[in-house]
Amino acid sequence: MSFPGNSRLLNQISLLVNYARNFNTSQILNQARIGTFMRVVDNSALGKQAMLDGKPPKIIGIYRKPRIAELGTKVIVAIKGQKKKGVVVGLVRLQKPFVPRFDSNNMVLMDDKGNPLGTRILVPIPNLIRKETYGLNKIIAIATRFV
Amino acid sequence: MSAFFKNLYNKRRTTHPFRWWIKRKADSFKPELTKDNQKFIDDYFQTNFSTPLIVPDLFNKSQKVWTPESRRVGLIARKIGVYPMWLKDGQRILTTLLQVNDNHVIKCYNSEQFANQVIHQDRYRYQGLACAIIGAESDHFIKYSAGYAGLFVEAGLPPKKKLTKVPITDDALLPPGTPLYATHFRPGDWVDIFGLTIEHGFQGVVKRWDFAGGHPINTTKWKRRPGAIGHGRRAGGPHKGKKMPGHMGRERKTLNGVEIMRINTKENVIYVRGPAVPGETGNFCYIFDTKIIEKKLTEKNPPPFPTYFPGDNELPVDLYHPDVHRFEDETIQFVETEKEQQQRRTGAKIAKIRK
Amino acid sequence: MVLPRVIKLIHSYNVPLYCQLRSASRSWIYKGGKGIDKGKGFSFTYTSTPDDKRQIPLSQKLIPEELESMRLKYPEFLPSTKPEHRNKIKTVLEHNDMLQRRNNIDIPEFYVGSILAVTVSDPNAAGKISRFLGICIFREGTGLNSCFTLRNIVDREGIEIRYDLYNPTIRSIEVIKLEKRLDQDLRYLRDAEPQYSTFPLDMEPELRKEGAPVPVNPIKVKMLPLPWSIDWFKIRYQHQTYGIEKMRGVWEYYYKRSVHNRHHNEYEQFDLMKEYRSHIPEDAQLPIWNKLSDYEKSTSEIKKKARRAKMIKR
Repeated sequence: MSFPGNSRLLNQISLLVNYARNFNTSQILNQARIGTFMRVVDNSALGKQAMLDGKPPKIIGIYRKPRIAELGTKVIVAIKGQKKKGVVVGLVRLQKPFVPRFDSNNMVLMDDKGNPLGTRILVPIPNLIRKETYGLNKIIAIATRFV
Repeated sequence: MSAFFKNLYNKRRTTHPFRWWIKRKADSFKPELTKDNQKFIDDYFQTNFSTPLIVPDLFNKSQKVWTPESRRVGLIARKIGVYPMWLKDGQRILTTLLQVNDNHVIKCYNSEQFANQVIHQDRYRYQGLACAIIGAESDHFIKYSAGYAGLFVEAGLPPKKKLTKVPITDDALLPPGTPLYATHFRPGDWVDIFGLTIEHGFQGVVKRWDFAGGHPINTTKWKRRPGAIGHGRRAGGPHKGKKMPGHMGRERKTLNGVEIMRINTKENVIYVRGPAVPGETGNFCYIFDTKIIEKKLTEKNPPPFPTYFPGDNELPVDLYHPDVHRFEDETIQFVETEKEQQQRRTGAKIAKIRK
Repeated sequence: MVLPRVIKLIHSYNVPLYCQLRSASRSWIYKGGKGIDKGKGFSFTYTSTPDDKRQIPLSQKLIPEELESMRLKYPEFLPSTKPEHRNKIKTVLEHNDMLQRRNNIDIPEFYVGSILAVTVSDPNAAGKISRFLGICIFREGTGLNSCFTLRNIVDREGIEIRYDLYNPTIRSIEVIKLEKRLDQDLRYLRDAEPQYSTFPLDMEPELRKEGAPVPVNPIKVKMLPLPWSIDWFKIRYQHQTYGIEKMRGVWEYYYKRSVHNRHHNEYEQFDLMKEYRSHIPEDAQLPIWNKLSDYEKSTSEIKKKARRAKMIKR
């Protein structure tokens, strides 16, 4: 229900009433699964255009046996009608101690071989990704700041 | 039919106390005592049972050689709480504290004497083994009956709250009255623990047996129910041992293969890795050497046999596992390799060029 | 209103219940039966007993004045409020380990709302050291399990990190600005305007006189428009949020809704034993504070010299 004219106050209250009816009473997990929307953190042309148009990338597949994305996992994503691979670089869910938690689900786009599409990452990245087992040396070379 | 279906169900709990035990508690009727009689009782208790028992003659006689086939005595402990500690890598682990409180050996039976006591069904299990009775947590004798307190007269001890029988080999027999300490084990040993689990009461099928149940919104009247039970009346109905709602908890469970990380010799506390020891805080636990073949005791590292006897050399207050970080040490620091140093310098150069 | 004075006092830092309720008399329990209206809210009065008729006079205190500040400096030394997890021998062993760790590192006094900088030795970082600066949002835990979270906005991205106080990989904890806020739980900054949680990573620490009282920052934070990530007015997060600025028209609806849901039953607000069990009595607090004051006196001279050496270096 929305009110016409200059009734901003009444519109706020109607928003509240609808919001209050739908709030969740169970624990909030904030997991990154198939279907979540991510925020591209590169300076690549594809990523910038997608975020400006209001059509962020959406996860289609996760390369991990429990299909829940964590920091450093590779991921297939749908952007602007294309399929692209990427790496998860920041998550909203609560983490263990000494691992940072971000305010948005961040990711970096890359090719099938592992070459990133952009030339620079604009946002700080956790130090977890520096492990040799992840194999993300080319993405570490682009990064500006570590947390 | 009986052998097939007996394997399908286990009797989870037994009547307690058993009917062949001695009556433990004193009569509820207590006559009024005069002041002199009350004083006599208090003096008798203080002179005989207030100080800990020391039996020095035994220490030299009962030092024996350990073999891989011999089986030694265990301990009764109480679960105190849970507590985090850190390893030298920086990894965090949880440890449970188990306090060994006033353990003594009360009586020992030879293998010949024990064979006459064993039930017919258990004769193969305890073949060739001897027996020792251990007690924990001494108490005032006025609470107990005369028959129960008489068990402890030979050892010269006050009556105990908790007793068990332990199967051992003939090598490990001990005289009555020997005290048992937490240093019976060492940090780095692997251990089995068993105890009574937490009480949950009458529970349904979803919690008790991990059944899936139904959808919480799209169904009516079928959300946490078991579903089908059998194949009909012709097939004999529901078979024996069918999983159904009932009482859950307060049954004996064992944890196999638990590592000891730390021992406190002053308060007799054992730190064990993991928070999953059965029972709540304040419950009794029984600790023994493992049966797992890969983690058994070996001849290269023999344990104190038959138990630990305190000698002239005093042990330090805390004994640690070699992987554990002590709180008195300095902070953990990691060292860079040459490869990583070169990578850091080249990375900084490239970043400068880009800017 | 719904006993605002009593509820404010109860939900402060670990102050025992019977110290506050000594002033209330019995008459308010019976008077409260009238005028209870589910839609409107509770309305009744209570009177205070005069000093002559009290059982325990207000002047008598079990904890002396010197040790009253200890519960603010060392709040993690108190045992947990659940009696199932409490044991005397366990607390003694835990306190010994905590004091041994404090000999190697200086863990300062800080509150929710103060700005901290933490340096950590990390095996994955460049140079094996990493540093982070932020405002303390949340603090919980007792004993060696105690932890706190820091929040900051770096390069237009909000970051939160949780730290254990007694972890041996922490190299130093510096307090850059000591202050308190009106709330004990500042997690609503996630849905507030970003100016309230940005702090430059190069901030220099503020010098503060020893013995001066800790200032309280009475900021009221402006929130972003709805929808929020979490319903911040719920009981689970905080009983009442004083640090959020009133939103015209919307405030009263939301506030009344939270007040109505604050207690599941009508009589839960009169349950004294429930409030008593959520605090630790002063008899049990005294030996802990006495032990800590002895520890402070033995190490105070060493720490003063170290502080003077730091000042001279600057």
